[in-house]
Amino acid sequence: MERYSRHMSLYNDFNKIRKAKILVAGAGGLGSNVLMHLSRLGVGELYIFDAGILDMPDLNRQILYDHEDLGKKKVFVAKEKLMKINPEIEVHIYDERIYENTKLPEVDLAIDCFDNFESRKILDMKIHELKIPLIHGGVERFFGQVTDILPGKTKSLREILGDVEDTKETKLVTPYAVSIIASLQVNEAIKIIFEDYEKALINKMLIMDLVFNSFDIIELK
Amino acid sequence: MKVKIKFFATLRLYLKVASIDMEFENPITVDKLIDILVEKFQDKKIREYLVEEKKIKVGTMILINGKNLIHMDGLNTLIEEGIISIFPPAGGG
Repeated sequence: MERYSRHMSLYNDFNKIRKAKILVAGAGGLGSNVLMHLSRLGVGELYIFDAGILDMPDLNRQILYDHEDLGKKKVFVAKEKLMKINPEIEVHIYDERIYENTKLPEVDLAIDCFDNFESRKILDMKIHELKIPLIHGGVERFFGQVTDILPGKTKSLREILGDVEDTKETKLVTPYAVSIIASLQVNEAIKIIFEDYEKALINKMLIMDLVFNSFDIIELK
Repeated sequence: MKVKIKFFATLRLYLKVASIDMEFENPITVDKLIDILVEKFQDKKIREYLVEEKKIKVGTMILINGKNLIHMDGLNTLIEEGIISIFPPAGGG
């Protein structure tokens, strides 16, 4: 347990983290940052979905990967790196996209680390079928937002965001904005694991703006 | 009737202001509020940014006291008091 000695006493029952099963949807910018934190925290089982291959533009923010990984399938590299970081955890990889008919594994919660709204809409639908919480995060440029979706307790992501669509433009993004949003997502995931609903972003959306150094929390109704 | 309008992300960057406070004698529609913003900032692009074909532009969220306009009466929603938040949710990752 020396591996966790700098944080385990900060939690009432660290075993909850060790036993947690978390699905990470997308192993790109948000995903690789989220996975790095979850593995170092000691989350028992990680389930990673991503069908992507590492391209050069990914390297500005996808911190699990390096130059030598270009051209490789992300999930395989992610698993290898995560196991090097913490061999005590289980990493299950799915080299596939999440479609409407994808059968998702049984997990405690999912984290939305996708990079487009279309995939998010499907994930939103799937977590409502499974009745599991979803930690939504999105990031662009110097901005981002985070909110927790709890079936039965909050609106769905689609209801909150409206029927947003992806544009054809390449989304620009700073590496540090991605890391901050990913960290906030992990913070929320841990709150949900500990059922600390009062302090979680439930029916609240945090909006980060690094240009103005602001973190606003909007109450959602 | 006191209203705080909060701008986020690219709109905040464009307008160079995080929020403005306004006061109205009577409730106004969101459509009217956009007219007032266009006049206040002397910038017609604000309407282009928020509205498309008489509907809230896809990709822009306008919340009145936390409730998305799409769940109310769209541009005809009446604003009485409270906080209006306008922002384009970030879609990248």
